Amino acid sequence: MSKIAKKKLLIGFAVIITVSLIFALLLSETPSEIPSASKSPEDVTVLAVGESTPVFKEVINELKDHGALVKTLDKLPDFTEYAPATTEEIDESTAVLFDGEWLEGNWENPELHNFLRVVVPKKCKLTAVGGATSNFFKALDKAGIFEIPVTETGEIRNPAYMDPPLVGYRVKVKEGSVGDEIFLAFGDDVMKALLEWLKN
Amino acid sequence: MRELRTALALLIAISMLTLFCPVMASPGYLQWKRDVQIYGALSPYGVYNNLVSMYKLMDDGVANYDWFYYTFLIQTVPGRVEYHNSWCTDKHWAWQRLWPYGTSDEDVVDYGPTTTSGTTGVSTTYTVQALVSKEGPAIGGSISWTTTYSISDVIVRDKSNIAAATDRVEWEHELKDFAEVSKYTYAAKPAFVVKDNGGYCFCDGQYSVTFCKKNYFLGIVVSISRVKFTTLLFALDCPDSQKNP
Repeated sequence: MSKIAKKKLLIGFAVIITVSLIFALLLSETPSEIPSASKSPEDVTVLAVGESTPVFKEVINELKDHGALVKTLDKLPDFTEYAPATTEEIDESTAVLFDGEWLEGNWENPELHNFLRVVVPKKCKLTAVGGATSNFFKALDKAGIFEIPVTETGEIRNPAYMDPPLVGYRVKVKEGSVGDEIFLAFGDDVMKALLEWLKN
Repeated sequence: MRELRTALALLIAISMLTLFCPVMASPGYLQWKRDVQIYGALSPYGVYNNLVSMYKLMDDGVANYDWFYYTFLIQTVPGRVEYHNSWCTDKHWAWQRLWPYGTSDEDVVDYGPTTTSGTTGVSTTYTVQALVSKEGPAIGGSISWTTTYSISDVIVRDKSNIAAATDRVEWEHELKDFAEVSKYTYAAKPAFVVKDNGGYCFCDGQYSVTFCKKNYFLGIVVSISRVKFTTLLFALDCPDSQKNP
């Protein structure tokens, strides 16, 4: 084989390898995921809904002590009236805290369902503290966001049927896919559990 | 000249691999669907963390069945680490059962760790292709899923029964009393695979952790205290299984 032929052969292979690598890169491309850094309470805006029980008040006060910006809502924002300005303030760094007792009287409230439908896609963290926290998943189910499993024999399998002191839900992106996360805390250190949930 | 030929052959092989491997692997892939995070701050004994991640096998070429993958990261942080006291981790236990059980519609088809280990380590390996190939689909690629952990002074007891009548996967990790492993954070990564005929299924899960502490009198150990926490039953519902048929 002449030197020129060898040179041509080498160039040919170099082209093949380059094209192969480009193809490989293109074919193996997956949706990018931006890793979110661990948050501290100072980075979180908390919307507190239905401040009534002592445990809820205590949690709110501790969150303020930890530097979280807490906005107490007397009633749910009417997004149909204020959109989009109000909804733009809600994002991944927002946590909505529902008082479990407030949820007891409101989980069937259509205004709550509308609120949930607006805020859930914004990937904010939704949380219920104290009281009958199982109502949190009932509200999500009614809003068409999270379907509570029901067995063929009609048993309702609410993930929080035992009313743990703290429950949470959010939509998130992981490994390039959009899915959701359920948070269930047990034990008596609600504040530690809440800080854990808020920071991840 | 011989070296040149060898180098060229190598280059061709590499280029072919880089070109075709992603194509071969593309027909089937695991897609994450849901996380369930169970958290227990159990002051002063310790902290319990359990992250359950659920995946579905996508584009597997099989119309009649779905495969779901449940992976766990079960972590105990003893009081010694978290609350600066003398509480250690004694054991943790994980129990899962498919619902409905006792039918052939949904089955646990693989799980790990399998069998009861000694005190040296645990290894878990799954190859999705092997599972799917049993059904004869034209899936070209292979997806392997491996978890290996090797820790001394831990006994893993496998109490699973994947017979259709029970569909149960159950593990107990017992840490040697007050060995180094029990004094610090301990994490286990079990997992299992569910094959579903396209109907609705979910998995019940229940978990416990036991912490232990030595009690002293005049510098002598007189007793050992053990405190156990058990979660109530959770429904681990993979969001992509067909609901309420």
